[in-house]
Amino acid sequence: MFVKILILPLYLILPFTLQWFDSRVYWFVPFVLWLLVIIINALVERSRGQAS
Amino acid sequence: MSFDWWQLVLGAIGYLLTLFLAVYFAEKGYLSDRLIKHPLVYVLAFGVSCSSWAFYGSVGMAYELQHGYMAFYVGLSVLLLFSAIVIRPLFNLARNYQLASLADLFAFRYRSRWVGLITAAGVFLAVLPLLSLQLQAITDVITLLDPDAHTRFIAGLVAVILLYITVLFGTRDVRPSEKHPGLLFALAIESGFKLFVFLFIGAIAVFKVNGGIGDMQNWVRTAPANFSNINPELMPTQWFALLLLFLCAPLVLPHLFQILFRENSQPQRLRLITWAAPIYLFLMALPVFPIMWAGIRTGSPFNPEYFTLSIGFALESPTLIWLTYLGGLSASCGITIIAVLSLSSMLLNHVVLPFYSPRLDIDIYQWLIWIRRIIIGLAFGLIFSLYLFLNQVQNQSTLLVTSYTGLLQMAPGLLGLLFWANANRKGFIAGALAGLGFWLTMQLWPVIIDSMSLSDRLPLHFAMDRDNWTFVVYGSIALNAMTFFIVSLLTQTSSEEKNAAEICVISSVDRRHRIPLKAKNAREFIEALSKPLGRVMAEREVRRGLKKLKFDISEYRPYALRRLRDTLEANLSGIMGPSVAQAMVSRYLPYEQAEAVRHEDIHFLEQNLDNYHYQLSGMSAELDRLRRHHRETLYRLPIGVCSLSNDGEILLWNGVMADLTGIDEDQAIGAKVDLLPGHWYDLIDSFIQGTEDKITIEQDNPDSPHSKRWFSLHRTRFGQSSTDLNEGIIILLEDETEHKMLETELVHSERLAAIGRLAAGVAHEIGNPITGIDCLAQDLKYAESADEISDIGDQIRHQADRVTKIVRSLINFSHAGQDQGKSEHHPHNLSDIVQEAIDLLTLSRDAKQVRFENHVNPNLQVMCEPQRLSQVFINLLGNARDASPEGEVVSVEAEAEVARETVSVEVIDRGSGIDAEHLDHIFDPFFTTKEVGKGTGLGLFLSYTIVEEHFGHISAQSPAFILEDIGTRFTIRLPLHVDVTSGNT
Repeated sequence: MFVKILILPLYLILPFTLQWFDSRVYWFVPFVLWLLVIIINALVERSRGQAS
Repeated sequence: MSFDWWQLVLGAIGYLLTLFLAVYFAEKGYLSDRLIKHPLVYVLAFGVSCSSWAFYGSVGMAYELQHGYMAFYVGLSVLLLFSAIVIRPLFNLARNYQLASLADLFAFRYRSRWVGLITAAGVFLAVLPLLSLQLQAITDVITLLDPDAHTRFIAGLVAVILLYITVLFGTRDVRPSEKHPGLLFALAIESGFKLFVFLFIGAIAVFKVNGGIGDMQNWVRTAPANFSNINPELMPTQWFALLLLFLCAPLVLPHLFQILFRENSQPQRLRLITWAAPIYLFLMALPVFPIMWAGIRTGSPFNPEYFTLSIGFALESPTLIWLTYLGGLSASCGITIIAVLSLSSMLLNHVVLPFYSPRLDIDIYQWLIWIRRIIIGLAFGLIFSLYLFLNQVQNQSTLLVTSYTGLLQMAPGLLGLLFWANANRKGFIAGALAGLGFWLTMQLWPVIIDSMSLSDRLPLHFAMDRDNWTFVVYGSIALNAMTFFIVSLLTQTSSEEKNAAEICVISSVDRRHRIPLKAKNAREFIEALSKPLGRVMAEREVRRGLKKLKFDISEYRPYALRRLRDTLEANLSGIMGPSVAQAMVSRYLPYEQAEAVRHEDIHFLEQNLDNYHYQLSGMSAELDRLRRHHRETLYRLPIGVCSLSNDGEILLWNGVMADLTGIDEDQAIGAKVDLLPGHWYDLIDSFIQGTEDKITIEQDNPDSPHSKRWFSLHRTRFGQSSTDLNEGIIILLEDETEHKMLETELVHSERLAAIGRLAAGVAHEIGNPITGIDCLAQDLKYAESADEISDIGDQIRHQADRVTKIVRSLINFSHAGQDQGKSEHHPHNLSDIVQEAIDLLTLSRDAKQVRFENHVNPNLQVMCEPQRLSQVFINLLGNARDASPEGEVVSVEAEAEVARETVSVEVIDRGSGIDAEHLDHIFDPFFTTKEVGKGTGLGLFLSYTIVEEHFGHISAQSPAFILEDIGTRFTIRLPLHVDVTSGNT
């Protein structure tokens, strides 16, 4: 749960991450970050599944 | 390129026919179970959440709000991220209590049919625009492809086909566990197809229309100046409003509720969907920007909401257009079917059944199925009517946001359900009405009014800009939540709601009370439920409940009956909704004394903790591990453990208890003691009623009728400081048979040893009369008269009688206890027993000569085994003789205490006495103060054991004569009139 709470803010600000680069060309950045947090969540769930 | 609408309609019918066949083959078993129940099918079926808006409308919202459209997908992903604390508890609730919809959940938690009604009506009202949107998307696309299309006719036709599929495959059964694997499989196919088409169009948009990734990026960099005006920056208020909508509302959506909680019976799939569904959502969101840019770049004449379609036009590819059309159709149909199916169950349970009961002389199952079909028909009729009413002038995002804002009004109730035990029905009703009222006035009504007044399509940013929709989202939810909170705080939460909160709130544990039911067995359940349900349905439901619980129709245990009642309520809830089920069960299966002192149902609590232990973490998980360890320790103790409540219900029955009694744990736990087999009931009940904290008792051995078994029972009560969970009594049961058999062997050995010690005396005592007989026999030769011969014969007989008497005493003594543990107590004269012991002891010639005096009243009788009791006196008198000086008196006295029904026997000597330091140990086995080889240390131990077996007590006092500081007094208390316990008869 701790990891999930850690990645939650990233979800919440996802569309605004584009502003870090100040260019529409980096439109894919929110998607990359989104994919990253999906993978993290998948790993967390996998470890929970193995633990239980 | 031109298309004819009838070709498109035929194409749609062909596609739906394919879906129809997929469902048919799956339901008929033509497809392998492995395929139908594959986890990927479930993940793809979840993709039904991406409706036609995701296929078409998302591009329009991206055009309007840039990355704002991602809120739809990100919101769902965040919800799934925290599935362990939101989705999993709801899943458990829905599964355990057969709750088929959100309205069921709320009616269950807030214990009110009005809550169910408001929820059902609110959700239905809110979902209508979303479902009308699906019809509109289909007809919009057909209109774009063929401007001469008869859109209303087409929409009606599509609605009828969807209605047919829903009724055919969705309403064949009303069982609470009803699943639709065929429909789920078809939804997976349509979601997979939709995703494939959308990704394919996205790829075409990137590589064909935009000229590859590099070219597309260049174009984005050098986009026209007015691009920014059309597509301004996303404002945080908009993003968070959208995120709020798409985070909270999906749980309320009937179709997602159906897929997440009803169609799924495997909890582990929730873990899979937590990360797999976001991947699906990610893939659905990814092509949106490339498609939008392709639409802008090619100067598509279409509304941006339909840029997806424009890719095929830009490339002049009829195949791509057909693919796009079918992909969109696929997105629209799936959600409509599954949402209406779920809505029908909700409306049946909360709008029809609470206010109308079917007649008993009809088949209620069939009646329910037909009412559900009628509701489905009405729902499709209303969706079609709203579609007509809206007149295709609203854009998809407007309808989506309108719909989700309405659904959002259920979010406070849901949060209260999961996290707030003080939330109550008044708060929920007030909050929901306030929120829904605000939404109706500020959003739904303007949409309807605009649809009536406008004749042409509204500009795209109608919903997004002009109508301050963010204000409606924030305003309605704030008003709703505050009203809910304040009213709940200011009003009283009923006890029913508190009980329900214990079940629903995730930080609580479902606690039940052990209240006896009026119905005393499963058959009485059938009788009771026959009144509201009719005999046939009542019997079927009770048998279904029993089967689920793996109980028998002859079930009578109070715990089992309480579980059966709960299961029946859950099953009826699945058929008729929780409001009706609760009312029915409360009325016809009432508790015996609802206001009586309530004790918690520990067994139920324990089972719950076992079921939910995976949810625990940190300290809670460790405590649970500790609990399970202690539980296992108790269960595996090599001694029988049984815990009983104050009212006699068995709460714990461990493995050894089951082995010793032959009564399984499953049969015993939850039963009352008086429902145990006769002899065990007698034994345990007499022990509970008695005053002793420890008894040893013998029973007939069922395996061997000629032998007995011994059990010792110990008991303890919970202390005053115990928690309310700790009530009643704990009983330990120990099998003493082996110990007793060994002890009997020991007594026998000791007895033989005593005979050995007596051997010399015996030889002498027998030798004397034999010598006498020998002399008399010689005298017989010289007898002269018949009288003399007769006299000598009498003397020989007299001497022979002496020998016989001695031999008989020895035989009696040596054979005592050789009856394989079978002992019978009968009335015997105490004086005779003492005298026999004295007679035996006087045979001994090696020992000192003391005088034994038997002062026992010849009329006193005790219930005993004379040989065993005789051994006690032999031991005591023998010790007294050994301790006494030559010629001293050892006396045995007895006094009856009629009032106490006991006789007190004293063996008093004037010997050296026992040292005070040894007095506490004289009854211990192998304790002796005699020289090595002269005493085994078992005499007094065995005496103690034998007296205990006779329900007596032995004690020692030394010195017996205090002034002279000599002697020992052994006092034996024996029952004068034995208090016969049933286990001893």
